Amino acid sequence: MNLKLLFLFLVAAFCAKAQDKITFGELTEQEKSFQRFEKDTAAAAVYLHEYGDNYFEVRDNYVWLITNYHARIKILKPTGFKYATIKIPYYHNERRTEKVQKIKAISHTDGHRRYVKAENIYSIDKSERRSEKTFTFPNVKVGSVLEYSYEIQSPFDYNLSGWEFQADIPKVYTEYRAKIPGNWYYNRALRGYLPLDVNEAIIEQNCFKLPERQEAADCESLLYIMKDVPAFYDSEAFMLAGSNYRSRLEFELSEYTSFNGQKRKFTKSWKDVDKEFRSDKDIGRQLKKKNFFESNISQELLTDGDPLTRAKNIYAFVRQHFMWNEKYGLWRDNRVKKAFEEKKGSVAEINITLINLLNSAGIDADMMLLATRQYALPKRENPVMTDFNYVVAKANIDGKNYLLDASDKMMPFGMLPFRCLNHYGRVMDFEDESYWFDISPEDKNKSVIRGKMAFYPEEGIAKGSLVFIKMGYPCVAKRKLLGKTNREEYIEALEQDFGDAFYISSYDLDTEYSNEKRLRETLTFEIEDILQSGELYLNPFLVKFYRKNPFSAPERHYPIDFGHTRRSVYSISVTIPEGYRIKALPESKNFALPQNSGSLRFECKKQTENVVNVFFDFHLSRTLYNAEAYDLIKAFFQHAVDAQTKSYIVLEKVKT
Amino acid sequence: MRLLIGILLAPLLLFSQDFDYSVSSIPEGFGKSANAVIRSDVMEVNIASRRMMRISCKRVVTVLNEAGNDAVMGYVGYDDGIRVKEVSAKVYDSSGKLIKKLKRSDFVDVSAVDGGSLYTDSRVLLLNYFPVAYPYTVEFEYGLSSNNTGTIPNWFFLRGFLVDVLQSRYTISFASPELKPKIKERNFGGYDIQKQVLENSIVYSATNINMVRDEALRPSLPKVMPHVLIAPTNFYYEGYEGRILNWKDAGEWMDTKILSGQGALPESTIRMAQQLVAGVEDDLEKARKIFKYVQENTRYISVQVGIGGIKPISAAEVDQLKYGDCKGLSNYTKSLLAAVGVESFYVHVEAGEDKIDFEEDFASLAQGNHVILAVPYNGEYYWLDSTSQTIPFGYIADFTDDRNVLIIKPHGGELQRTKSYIEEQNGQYTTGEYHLTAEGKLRGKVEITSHGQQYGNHYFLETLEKLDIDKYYKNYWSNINNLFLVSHDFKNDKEKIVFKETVEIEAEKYATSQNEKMLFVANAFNNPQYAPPRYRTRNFPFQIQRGFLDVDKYSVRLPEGYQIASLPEGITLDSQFGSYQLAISQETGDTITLERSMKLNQGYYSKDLYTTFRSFMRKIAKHDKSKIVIHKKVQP
Repeated sequence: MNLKLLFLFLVAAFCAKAQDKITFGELTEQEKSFQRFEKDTAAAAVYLHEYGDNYFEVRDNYVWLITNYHARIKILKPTGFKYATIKIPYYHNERRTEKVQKIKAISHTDGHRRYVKAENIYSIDKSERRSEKTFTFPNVKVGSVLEYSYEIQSPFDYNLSGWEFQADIPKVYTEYRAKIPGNWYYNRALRGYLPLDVNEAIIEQNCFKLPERQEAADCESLLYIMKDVPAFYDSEAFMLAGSNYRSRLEFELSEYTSFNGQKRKFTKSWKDVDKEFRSDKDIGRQLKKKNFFESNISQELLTDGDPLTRAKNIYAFVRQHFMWNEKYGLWRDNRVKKAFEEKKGSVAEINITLINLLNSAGIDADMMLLATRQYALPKRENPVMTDFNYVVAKANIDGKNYLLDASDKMMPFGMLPFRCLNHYGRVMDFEDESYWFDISPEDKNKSVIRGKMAFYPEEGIAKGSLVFIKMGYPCVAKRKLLGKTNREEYIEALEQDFGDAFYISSYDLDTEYSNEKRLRETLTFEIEDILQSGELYLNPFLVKFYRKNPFSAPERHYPIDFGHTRRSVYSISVTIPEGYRIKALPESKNFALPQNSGSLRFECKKQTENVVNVFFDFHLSRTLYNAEAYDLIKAFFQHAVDAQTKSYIVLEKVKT
Repeated sequence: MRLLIGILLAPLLLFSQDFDYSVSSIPEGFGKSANAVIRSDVMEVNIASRRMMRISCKRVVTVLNEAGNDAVMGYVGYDDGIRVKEVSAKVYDSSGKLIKKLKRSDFVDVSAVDGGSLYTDSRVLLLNYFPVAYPYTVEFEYGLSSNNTGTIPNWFFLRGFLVDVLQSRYTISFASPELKPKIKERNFGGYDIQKQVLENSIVYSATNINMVRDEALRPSLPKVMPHVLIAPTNFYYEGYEGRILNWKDAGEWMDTKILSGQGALPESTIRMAQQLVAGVEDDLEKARKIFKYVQENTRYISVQVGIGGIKPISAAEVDQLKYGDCKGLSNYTKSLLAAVGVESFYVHVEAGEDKIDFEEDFASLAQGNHVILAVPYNGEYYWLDSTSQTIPFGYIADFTDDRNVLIIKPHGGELQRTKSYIEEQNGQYTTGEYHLTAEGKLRGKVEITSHGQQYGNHYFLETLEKLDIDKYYKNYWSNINNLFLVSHDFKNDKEKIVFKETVEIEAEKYATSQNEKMLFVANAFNNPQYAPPRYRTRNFPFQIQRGFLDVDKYSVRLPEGYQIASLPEGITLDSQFGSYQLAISQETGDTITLERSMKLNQGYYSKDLYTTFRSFMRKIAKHDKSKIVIHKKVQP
């Protein structure tokens, strides 16, 4: 995976290239006359200047984390008006809350300045722990400069979390400062591809002092600047989380030394993390509920059969037992006993239960932490626990590894939901050491359609039968669809998918030839008004895997990540009606992607004088292609689309 | 926007003690293909006085699968004017055993701010229950009280799709005869709905209603679902008393109680407005200038608090902030118009693509969700929607067109029908040419001119960025694979309301080569391939809400050295739904002309005609796929 991660090394050099601090309410001539961002003329708005600052301060005998923020945004197009509405999130828990204060906001429009009044600033609670202040600027037009600043006073030192250099609109100048007393240590990492224009750290001596104490701490004073930052766009198909590529600085609290000299480590090395996990009440201790589970399930589950059979039975049992409450719930409030009794729980509770039971059955199973595809890939360099949001089970059975997630009722043994296909995770082996482990998705993902079709000219129809076989991920998707639609609706939707003259006369879900990873459906069909007079052009693809190319953007900046391999096979034999003969068949096609990473085969062959066999095989044998391969992949899909939409068997009436 | 808060509420209903919650007690014939079964849905509304309305509601729902969870409707909305006195729920497993009780503190209390508003005081208490297994049964109940009696909840016996209803009952009671509300019954036909009128109450009840499912081209729900509309005659709302018997009263109440005093503007703004129209005599021209000013200087932002749900913020405040919701912006435009001597009226309307009418003989404050202005000029009205910064003056297609609305005048309200856009007015004219290369590549130049309602489908192109324009055409011409947009040019005549696109495109392999021949679909530039879905049984009537006329003419030039092997035959189709013509003719040796026209009529049709309509549309789709076949000229 080509993820670029830069670590900032502290350099004790000093020279301030930062801009002079700007004065609230006073625009420079340059800002007033700024009309467009040359590097991206499509931008609807732009940050002219953005400034953020974090430091610690003693107020009323408490140490607070203070954030100052100040921004100037220029509206360049009417579509940029949405950037005139500001939301400032803040957090609270049962006992303490952050405070957003000193909000100042002013619009500069055609030389007029207008303040946002206090009564037009609203507080909205978004959830139990999250709220936001929101307001919108008055008198906004194209050309307005919107300026605002505020302070957040926070009791949570872990909320010093970094800085977003890149947003969905460009930034001319963005600066972040932090002044951190030596008592706190934060790990930091720069994400994305853009370089810092200024990257400085100096030690400032005796900068922080508690009122009742003599000694003062030294501070690390940090300054980071980026200039002319392009907007970040991320709506392309088959992409990992945009946050893998968006430029931002991440901080995570690693260590705190209280002023009495007591140290508290948050994260440091995986060794520390392993130790913490083992004793954590929400995680490690939840893995030690053997006795509880053993007394609450039938013993045969733990003892019958060989290890793989036991593992499969336990997996099926847990999957069946729980209703997933749609939460991942990795870090807080995991209570497996309660969840087991209530028969519902988070992914973490369900999978920790699974691990408990596997262990009870003598199977080597550990928890594996991972980040879902909406999350950035976890940093490998050092443990940043907030990089992870999900837990699955990793079992080793007879030397073979299986990743298991029992939260999804349709997920076969050994397959993970698509959301988990995010390259790698960390296995928390509590006996030895934790280690990275690659996620190898199910490899047999296939949609196969086989069929035959014949014509009945006197009725003007074609009749035939089709067999659909889905394997791997397509099978899971199909099972989910079948699970939530009633049969009649499902069949009508299927007909709709084929086209408007297609009628399904019988349908059967073939349970005998189906299993968890394989689903077989058979149907018979009729197609109306298919025969015209004279020459006849017949597209043999009753079903099209790709009607349209999923890739349409002229260029691509990020890798193409399909999550899992894909293969679509279509074969049909077409019997030509009496009184017609085959005049022409589509040309065969054969394409291959470099290094055997994909292939496309299409051919139409005469089997006998009146039977044509059509065969189509589209195969992507890798999950990940880099951005440079974009043109190839796009063309590859286009060949598949063309073969399916533009191939005709030409028939003509035999002159009598 | 929100005019009045739609209050949803509920009761202390008499339930026999031994209600059987088990799934097996659902009678035969119900719960087979439904996602949920409403075992009982009961609401009691009591108007205790002008200033006291109590509502209680109890609903028992058996949820059969995941898709049925929504049928529980386990939420209750409130705001500063509505007090939730109680809310609770009980959950039963499939055998009818009680498995969970939820008290008020188990409900989640959240702000009802959605993506559309900056802020609202509306809040929601949500039933926070995650099912352990299906099926399960929930009994959900709540009680509310409000000092406002301006709107009373309506009652739908069938609330959604794929849900069976075993029992539905609505009771309205009133302390005295002058508090007796007005009632209107809609779409009772085909349903067994009992009505019981007592001295101080009215009860409607229905039993054993089978589910319906949603269907394409279904008329709007108020047109087809059985329901009861209820509205007070004498009421109190957020500080104001009122008496509304008819639309005249409703308009007068709005004008005197709600709108009056909200129109004043600062002197400087009045002078600015007057300068804006200096030298203009004609009122309509003045109105255009004012509307343009509002479009260029304000934007839509919604804030809804208390009476602000129905009362606009003052014109002076909008003048300061330069933003507002539909009420505030319309009221602001109205004040600016007044400042230059142009009369206009504030209008309540139910906006949306579905045309929903205000009921002719049933006046209430609960109808409508949007505000526009009506400007009288030469005996007709021009309708202005001040919430859009881009629509032309007087243009209302697809959102507030062709429906009954309430015009609020100083001496009372009146219902009027807004402008409708009918077939020929909604014209789209596509002309152009394309030629093919010997490799099958298409090169074309097209002009698309759109009018009326179809203007609304195109004019926004003007505001898109290049990347999105590209996406738009790839989608608009999804019949052309490999589309490459060479150039585009737009002319938006806002005065005449005509939008013209001139577009050059290229597409590799538009034509398929096979064995010395090439074939391609003749109709390249206007080929939507729409046919409505087939239903094994159709339940609802169907409606074509807006008709249109498309006229297309283009010429096709063949690659050098090729000649025609076969041309599709043309066709003329006529039906009550519209007409279609396609003619393809050879102009010269290597030029073909395609002429096509399609007219679809606006109309409301019985379900029996659906199959005929579908086959009409399928024929069109099929002919639009007609292919031309060409081959290399034989050397003489």
